[in-house]
Amino acid sequence: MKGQSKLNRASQWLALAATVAVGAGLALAFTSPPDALQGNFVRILYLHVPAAWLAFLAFGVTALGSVLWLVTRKPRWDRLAHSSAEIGVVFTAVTLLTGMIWGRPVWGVFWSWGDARMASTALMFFIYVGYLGLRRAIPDPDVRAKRSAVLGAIAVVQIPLVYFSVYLWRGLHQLPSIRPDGPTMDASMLTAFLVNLVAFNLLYVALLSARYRLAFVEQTQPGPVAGTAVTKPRLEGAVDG
Amino acid sequence: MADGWVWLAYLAGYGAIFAYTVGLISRFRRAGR
Repeated sequence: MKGQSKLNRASQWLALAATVAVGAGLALAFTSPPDALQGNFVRILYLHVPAAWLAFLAFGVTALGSVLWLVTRKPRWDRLAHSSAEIGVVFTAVTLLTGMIWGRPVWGVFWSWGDARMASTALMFFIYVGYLGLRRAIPDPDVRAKRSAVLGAIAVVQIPLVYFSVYLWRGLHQLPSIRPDGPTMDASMLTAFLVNLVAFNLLYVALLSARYRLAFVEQTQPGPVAGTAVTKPRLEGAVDG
Repeated sequence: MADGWVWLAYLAGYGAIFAYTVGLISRFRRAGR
């Protein structure tokens, strides 16, 4: 189909643009000057902060898709919410992993439950893993869409909770470096950070478009959602027929 | 240049993104597209 091949072509260009941008971001992250206090460890933040931003963006899109599904009941919004949540979980995992690896040499610990930013981010991760688990556990598409839309719309309160946690509770994690009154970093570092941020946004759009198309294919081609053990549970000793 | 922790962070972070992307492609193949 002409429309389909146009879509594929657009996705390919998008994937190429995301790859080039990520390459440029990597080059800048490793050639920008070391930080006066952190030294080379600041390079981890060019990956950690854009990943955290993407997690917020992805879960925000999930909330938007969820609300739009609740209003319109159109399957496309459920697909969007689901696709974005999956990508958000991946980027939250990247945020947690890179944060832990940065924390060990700079703070002296991989993890501290006493820090509100870490604890709230971990909570956000598990809530959205739960969202994906909920989807897998419900075979009926309408019931699945309804329940996950309610969860997707409520779970978004995690975003301000994680973002403002550093202001609300004092812990290990520092305050944001990009603030309303201006950034608190050198211009060369800001350039490296912004290029990585743009690269991750492109990566998100490329992944979302691919994941959305997969959700479309899966929804339009009937098949077992979670395996027959879930869709057709058999009681022990039950007689078939 | 960067030291071991930096390499580890990039390996873990981009490793996760790469694994997800490869998984997405293989799910596409299984779905028949």
